[in-house]
Amino acid sequence: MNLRMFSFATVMCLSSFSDATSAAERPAIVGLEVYPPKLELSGNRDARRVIVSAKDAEGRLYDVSGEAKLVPAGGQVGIDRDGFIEPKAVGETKVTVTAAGHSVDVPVAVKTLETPPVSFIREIIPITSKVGCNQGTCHGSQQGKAGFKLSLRGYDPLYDYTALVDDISGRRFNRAVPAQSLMLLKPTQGVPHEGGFLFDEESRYYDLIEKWIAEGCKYQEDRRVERIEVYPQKPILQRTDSTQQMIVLAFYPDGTSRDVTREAVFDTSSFEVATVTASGVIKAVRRGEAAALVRYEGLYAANLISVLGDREGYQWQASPEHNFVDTLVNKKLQRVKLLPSELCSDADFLRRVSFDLAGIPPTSEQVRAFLADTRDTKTKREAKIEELLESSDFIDHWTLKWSDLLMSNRKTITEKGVWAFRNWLRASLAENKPYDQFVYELLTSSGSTFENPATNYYRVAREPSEVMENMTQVFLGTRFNCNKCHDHPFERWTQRQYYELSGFLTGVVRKPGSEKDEEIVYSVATGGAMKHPTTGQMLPSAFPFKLSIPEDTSPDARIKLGKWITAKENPYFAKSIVNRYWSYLLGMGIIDPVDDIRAGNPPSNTELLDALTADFIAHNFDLKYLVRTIVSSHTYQRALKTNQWNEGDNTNFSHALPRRLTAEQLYDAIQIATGAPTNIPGVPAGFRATQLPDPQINLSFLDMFGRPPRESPCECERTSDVSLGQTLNLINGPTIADAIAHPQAKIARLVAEKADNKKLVEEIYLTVVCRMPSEDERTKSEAYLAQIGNPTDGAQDMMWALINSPAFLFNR
Amino acid sequence: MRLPRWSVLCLLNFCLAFATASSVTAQEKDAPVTTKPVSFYRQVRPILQRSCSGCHQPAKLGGKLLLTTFAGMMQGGEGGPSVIAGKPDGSLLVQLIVGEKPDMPKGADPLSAAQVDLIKRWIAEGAKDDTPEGISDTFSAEKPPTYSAPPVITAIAYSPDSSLLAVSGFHEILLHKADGSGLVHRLVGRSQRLNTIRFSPDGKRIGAVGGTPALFGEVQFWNLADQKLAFSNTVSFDTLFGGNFNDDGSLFSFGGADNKVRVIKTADGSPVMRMDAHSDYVIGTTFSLKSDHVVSVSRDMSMKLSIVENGQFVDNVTSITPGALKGGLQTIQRHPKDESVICGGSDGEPKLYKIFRTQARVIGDDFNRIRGFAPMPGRIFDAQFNADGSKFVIGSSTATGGAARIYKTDDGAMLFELPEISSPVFAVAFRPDGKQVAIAGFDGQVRLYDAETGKLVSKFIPVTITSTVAVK
Repeated sequence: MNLRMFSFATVMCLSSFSDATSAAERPAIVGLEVYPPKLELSGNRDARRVIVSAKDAEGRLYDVSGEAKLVPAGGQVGIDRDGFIEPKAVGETKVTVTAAGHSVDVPVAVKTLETPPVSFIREIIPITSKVGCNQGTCHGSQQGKAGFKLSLRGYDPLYDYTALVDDISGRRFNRAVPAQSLMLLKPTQGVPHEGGFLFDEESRYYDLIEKWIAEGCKYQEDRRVERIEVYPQKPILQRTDSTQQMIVLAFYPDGTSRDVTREAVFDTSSFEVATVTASGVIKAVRRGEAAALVRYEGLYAANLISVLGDREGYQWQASPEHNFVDTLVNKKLQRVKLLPSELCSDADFLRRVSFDLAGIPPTSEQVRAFLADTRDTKTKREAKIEELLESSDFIDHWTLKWSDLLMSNRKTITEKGVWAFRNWLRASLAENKPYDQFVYELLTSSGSTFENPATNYYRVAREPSEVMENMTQVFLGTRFNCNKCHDHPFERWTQRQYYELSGFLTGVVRKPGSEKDEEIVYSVATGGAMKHPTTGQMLPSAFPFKLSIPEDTSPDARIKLGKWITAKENPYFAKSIVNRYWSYLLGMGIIDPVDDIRAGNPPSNTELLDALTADFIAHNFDLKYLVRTIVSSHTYQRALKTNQWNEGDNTNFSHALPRRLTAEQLYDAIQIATGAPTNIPGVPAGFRATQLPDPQINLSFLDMFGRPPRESPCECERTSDVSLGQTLNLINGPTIADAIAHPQAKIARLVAEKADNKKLVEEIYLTVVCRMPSEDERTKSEAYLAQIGNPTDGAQDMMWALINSPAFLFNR
Repeated sequence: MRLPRWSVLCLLNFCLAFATASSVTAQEKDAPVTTKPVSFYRQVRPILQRSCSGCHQPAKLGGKLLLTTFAGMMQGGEGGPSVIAGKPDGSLLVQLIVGEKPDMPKGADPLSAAQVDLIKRWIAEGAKDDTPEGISDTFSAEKPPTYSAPPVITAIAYSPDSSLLAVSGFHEILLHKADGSGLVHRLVGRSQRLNTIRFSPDGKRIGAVGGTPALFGEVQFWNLADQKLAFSNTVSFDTLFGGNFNDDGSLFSFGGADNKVRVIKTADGSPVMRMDAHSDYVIGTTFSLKSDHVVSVSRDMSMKLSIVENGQFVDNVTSITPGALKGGLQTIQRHPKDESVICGGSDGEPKLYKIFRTQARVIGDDFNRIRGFAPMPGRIFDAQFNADGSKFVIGSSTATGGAARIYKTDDGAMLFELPEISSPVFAVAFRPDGKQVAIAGFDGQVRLYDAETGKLVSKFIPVTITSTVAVK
């Protein structure tokens, strides 16, 4: 049986989009589309490229930018060696674009031919990023390379300027003879360079750097780019041999823009699906979805790519829509040509929703009752959802999740603190406290850790920066720890912001209380300033981004912080919890990993996440409402079984994703399935694993199956991998064997009641996999019991085999 | 764990993509267009530079083969001569770069067919070196450099009689009248950059160190009487720094980008010692009063004392300088009258140190420090005492600005903040007669100040600017 589980796990890991593309010829082209449809160029270096798409009769677009011929009508513009339209003289003209037997004229106006001086920040640093000088493996490394160090990916322009212009008395440039500058000789291999040849003397990069040196190596605090946009947005590549040119535009505060395609750095989130060349061409590899990641001057953008491959014969078929979740999921499925699975069976739904909402499987009685309920499926499922939402098991299950996230652990908050904190969490969940209020209470809590247990939040982490790191990861779903030592390499967060945000927590004081192990948490007024570790500058507290909320004048910095974090205007707060809850229920976040929200990790379905977030806010941060909305959807209730059109899909929620039971779920499920009494050392008899207050309750089975030690707020602390040790434990270990054979367990009781084989088989199926056996299963199982003779032995064997099957080990 | 691994992957991915893109342009550019004889200098050398010189360069010498010079290539490496003139197919170089999966370039895309063809044709045509005569010193007294913009000034020095001011230029030392009233001589040499210029104590010679970055380092000695080069030593594969005469003028010390300290005899340039204990560029050196020790400062943040006679390392004078930032120490000069030194570096604080210990050394101590002075903005690049050591002039840079000051040595007082400085200061000099100081750096101007009043006396650009660019 364990082999089945193994192979199942393997299939899960390796399952991929099927790739059955035929190298079909491109259909007949009926016309061309050019983006942008017209151009305006200002300044002699304002060269821009256009994307040329060929359109077939059904409106599908194929990128032909690479093969298109561009011919200017007049001398106002020329075409440079990269295919960019470059200004030559002021005036208006057109460029005739020809490809696939069609032509389109693109009007081009050259407004000015001004020659602004080369800007170090806007033009030189992007080159060092583009050719890789400042990457982590070269001069951007902690120690630099060969005596020359740049800031990682150019996050610190003044540092880079100093390195290039000031180090060793200006060793790296030569203003008198720019071509003899070390910074030009190295990348062109004019002198030996271990980093190799990067560009030649005829390239634009060379020209720009040479010009900048000749102009005197000027440094000016330039207008920084405000945002970047990538076109075409969310491209669909029809075939697995398709390519798509992208263009990247940088926008400045004064409304001007530049084409920075040649300076932007490209990457892909999955090179198994699509790669992106240095010049911004997406190359499809196989059917699937990936994000093209674009980086320019400290800004990041992601562009979702869909490679369709061969979908010949695909036809959308309407799938029931229970609420807006299904509408938006299905919209995406149609776009990438997937068909959703059917609704799952009532038995599957019951088991799934019980684990997801209450953390435990239904009992055999509950399964029988649910299957016997003759109301229509939708009605009875909704009734079950309400029942579970109001159950005490719901509180246990979600208390465990929040205890994990908030790292409740007697190592840091003492045993009494753990129980107090648990009670506070339970009470909050029981009253369904609005999520914003829940978080606000935690962040602004003051008083005794025993009397106002929310204050334990400030006991788990004690340093301002540590609290801030946990807070941003849990409540905003972002990683604010990379930028402790340098600006975030994959996001816009800066090192400065790390200390500015931590500053809000500098006034939190902890002092011993009158009781043993008690602490009192309170705020004192401080300047809120933290010291920048490299510049030594004192930084007053400040938020990393402004919200349009009224400024809070409270003297307690934590009140300001709490209001800012929990504001409905905060673009991360509601979104991150919605996404996190979605991942708990569907097995994968719409943004995944859920606590790493950033430009380079885009949502698989932006509209869905936005709609869920808006709905959650509109319903006053009601967590139960959120759970209800999600599990009521057809999307949640879809079968595990796939069809021809969605078998490879893992990211669009077209079918259920199997999830291994968590450590606590598995332990409790074994006890419930076998009917053995639970007796965990250190807690009262009958206490289930889900109800344990912290990981210091010693139960090695739980640790083996990935119980988080609660030392980090990362969702990744809880593991769901499958290991040989686990399998051996399930097959041979005492946890299952003892539970099955327990004298008060189900089998002993059934045998004592002299249940016949039919009843035994049915009960075992109901209690272990929460459904009735199929006819085939029933026949084979009864035959097996008859063959063994001894009903205890036979029934125990059967139960053992079923517990070791994926139908039990997975929530599916 | 996920992020770092992902980033490595994407970086690799990016590098590969880029290498492919760039080699395409290289191939297109190198496609043969004429049937003229292949030029080594114009056509073959660029291929070697791009694809081979990363490993087969002086500093690495992969396979004991040097491919950055014609001579090195002809001499060959471990496998014998690389090229047999007239026999392309018999030449090892060709054998290693042809075929489906050639051995070379290692770990990179093979050379294009057009590139291989060029090399084969060049060998078939006799493998001739058409490198223009003395390409690395194109300039001479007869054909001096011309300037399209003022070069950054990295070194200045007054003659002992206070009559001349030597200023670094591109490939030359410019000798000006000390009051800035005119150019007297130009000493044109091989090195692009001169990082220090010093007059010998008797004023008869000039010693200068520098080189061409990433290619070679050089010590130049000039006779002032006839403005002729007395000798030139090529040292290491990168530039030299911090040259200094001892008090009787018999010895000359300097540091290098090879992390070494060296001392030579000024009579003939012959080596006296070498010290290897530094772990980064050695940027300043100075002798003890008795000339038996040399003190050196480095980007590795340490100040080291070693024995002239045998190069033995004696002591870290500063231990690891407390408060010194990465970037380390950049200048040092011994007091004219006693065994102390003034030094400065990245932390911007001028510091006076005893050279020799009077207490046993303890890890992390700072016993030898005599005093610190009010910190300068940015990094200190150069400092020099006046003739009796009672004052010193010192300059610093913040990369976008700079400062120069005169301090009093004994009580630490700042006498003057020299005015009208708005760009990095890389070089300073105190005129031996004590009346003037000279300041220069990034902007290419020399500024002369009255040392008694701190007032700017005059400023000038030491070269003549013409509109044409000297070399392309």
